[in-house]
Amino acid sequence: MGDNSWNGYEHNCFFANTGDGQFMDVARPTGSDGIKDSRGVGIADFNGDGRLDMIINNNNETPFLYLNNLAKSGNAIVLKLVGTRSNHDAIGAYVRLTAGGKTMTRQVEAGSGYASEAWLPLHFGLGSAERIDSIEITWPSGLVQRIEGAELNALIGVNRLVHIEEGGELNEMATAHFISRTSAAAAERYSMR
Amino acid sequence: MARKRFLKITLKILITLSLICGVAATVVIYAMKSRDEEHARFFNTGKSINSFLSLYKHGIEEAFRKNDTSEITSFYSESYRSPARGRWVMQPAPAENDVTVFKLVAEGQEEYDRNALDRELSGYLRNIASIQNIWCKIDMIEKVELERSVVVRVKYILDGTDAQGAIFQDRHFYRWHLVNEAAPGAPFNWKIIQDELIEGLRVEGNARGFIDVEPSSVGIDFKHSRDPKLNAAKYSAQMKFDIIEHGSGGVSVVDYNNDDRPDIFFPDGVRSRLYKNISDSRTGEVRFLDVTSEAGLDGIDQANAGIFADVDNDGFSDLFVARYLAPNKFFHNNGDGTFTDLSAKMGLDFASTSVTACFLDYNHDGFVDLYIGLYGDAIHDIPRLPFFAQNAPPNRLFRNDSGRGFTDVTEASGTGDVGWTLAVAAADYDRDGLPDIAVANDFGRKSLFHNNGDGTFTEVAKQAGVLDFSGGMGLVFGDFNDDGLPDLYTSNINSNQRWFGEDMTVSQYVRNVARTKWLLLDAAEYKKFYDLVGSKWVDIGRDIGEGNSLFRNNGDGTFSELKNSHTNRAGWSWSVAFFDMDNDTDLDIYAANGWISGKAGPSADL
Repeated sequence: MGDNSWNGYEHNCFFANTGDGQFMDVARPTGSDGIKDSRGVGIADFNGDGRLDMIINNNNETPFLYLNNLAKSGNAIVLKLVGTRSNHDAIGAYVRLTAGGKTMTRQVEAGSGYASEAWLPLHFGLGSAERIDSIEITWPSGLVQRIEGAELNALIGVNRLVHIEEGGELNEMATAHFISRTSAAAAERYSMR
Repeated sequence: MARKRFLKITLKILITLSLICGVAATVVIYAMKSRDEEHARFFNTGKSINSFLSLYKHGIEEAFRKNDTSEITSFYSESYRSPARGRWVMQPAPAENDVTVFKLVAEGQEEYDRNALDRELSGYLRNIASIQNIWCKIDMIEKVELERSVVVRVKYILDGTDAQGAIFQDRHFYRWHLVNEAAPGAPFNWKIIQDELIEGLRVEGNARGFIDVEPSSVGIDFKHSRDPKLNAAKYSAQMKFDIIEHGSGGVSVVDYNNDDRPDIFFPDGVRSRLYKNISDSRTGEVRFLDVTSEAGLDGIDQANAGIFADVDNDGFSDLFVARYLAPNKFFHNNGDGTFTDLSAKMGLDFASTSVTACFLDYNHDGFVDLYIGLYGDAIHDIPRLPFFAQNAPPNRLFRNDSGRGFTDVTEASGTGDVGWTLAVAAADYDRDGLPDIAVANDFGRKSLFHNNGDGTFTEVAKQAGVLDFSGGMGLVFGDFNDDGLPDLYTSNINSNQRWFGEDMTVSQYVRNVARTKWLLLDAAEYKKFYDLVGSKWVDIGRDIGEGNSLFRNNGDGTFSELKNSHTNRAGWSWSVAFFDMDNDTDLDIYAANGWISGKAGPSADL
């Protein structure tokens, strides 16, 4: 590291949520603690393995591309919402998803952090849950759409990217399986820093 | 306490007097003159402690290299004695995903002297196979007896590997009692006379949770460039606030071609770029292709942010580019992999100080509107006041007229924040069905614009408890505690220079300002500031350097800051993101850090 620095050479931090309003910085032991003057952060599942990756722009430098390779990772589902009465990207939609006895909420946002935008489809980690109990979408138009029951699981399942059209029938959803996790992000395939 | 009361009274007096009569203020200034010298001594004391910590850091490196603990114990006084300190031991704690966790705890009540300390340090170093980096910084100065003794909270971070090959990081907070053992008049000779463990953690793993892919090997041949027009060396004569060139570098993820594979857009000072995701859907092998030229997006310079949304509901994401001191741009996505520049037609080609933006449908007409964040004009202005700068051009809200164009509704909507804005985000924090807007201002405060549902917004940050004074750089909403309410995480500056924000510096600042014409010119600003924070203003200096803030949404329109959530000491933070990194259902937080590597700060080596 250079001697000259104005709050330079700082780690990026990864605060893992440990519950009860507590977090723990695990950036270094997970290999996501890059030391450059990082600015924007983009989040998405770039390789379609159900785990969220990161692209980070660094001032006057090359970016970080962090592919998520965490071994202990749960199931996931990604919902791409398509507005019909609402704006097409469903920006502002609020989703409650219940699985494994837990309800999670996410909102579709276009632009946040610092000069950054994450992938619009909503990603839900599911832990060990292998089915989804219900999805409730409050669309910007005000429409509240509830999807539940056996039909839901027959058509959606987990570890998929699912399109949901506003007010649409379940059979209108296009689904795609995430690719196999074991072959997905094997470190050996990539040139690493 | 007496000092705080003094400061409060001083500011009140200054405001009142300056508003009535500038001449009368000089009387107060004269009375304060004797404190100048005291402040200079405080500054030198703080500086010398930073040097001490920097030497201590080298001491650890040397002790490890030479296997000689005296390289560290020499920083402790001969009369070092820590009563009831206890042995500091690492205890296994519950693992977090692939990460093994140990907590450093003080065991027992044993009194420590230098011999006991030496044994403990030997044990600590034995455990370490290699050291990559050490940081040893002032977290807070708790007590000062000028030039004689100091109680300081120290942040200690060591990146290393252990004998088993695990990659670890130690993050310790100590309370050190320092005494100056130099003879009067001689250079500072600080020694630790007593120490105490506040908390400590070791996190350990294989550092393979994220593969740090060389971007160029997967098709991303991008390197960020600053805007050459902001290069101070070339244009310094024209620039009042030249540091801004170091701030640029947003990034966006968008599926611009609707193939369900997320693509990447880099706004850039010289040439912004779009990379198409062409990853193999069967094997998951990641691959990107530079499609900037074929997409018709060549030549976008001076750009800080590129935010995408489908503006005309034709099924494809359009692009707004926030450009600093240059006309903004809007590109329509034609749906065939190309974009068309419709900046002028859509009414978004105004030149200003745009640095960021977000889309939201504030009036629920089914078309997304655009909120643009504007920084100050670095060529003509500096942030005034430095902790409450309100002299930037107002942020702008544009209403989308059914996809045909945008109309500026800033004034009517009441969203024209004049802080030096660096970040904006929209979310319905109070779950009334309407998206609200949050703003992070550098050299200032956060704003929270509550959507009234009639085209107007009301700024409620004070009532909501999210003023969060600091150098605000980023913010993001997310429900980290699964109670159905969007919480808020803001990124700020946690500076090594934080000690500088203590009472004594604040009062010196007031005295310095009082001597200049700025007090009179800015009197109205001081009054606004005082109206906003009242008697709490003295604490602001301390808060400003504290770092990021995590606010839990209480569900009644207010937020509570979770100060002990271990999310605030990130660094000089920029973008922040909530996402579930390990698919365990709850949201984690990523924070990007670092200001200027390779360039000394205004008080070098602090």
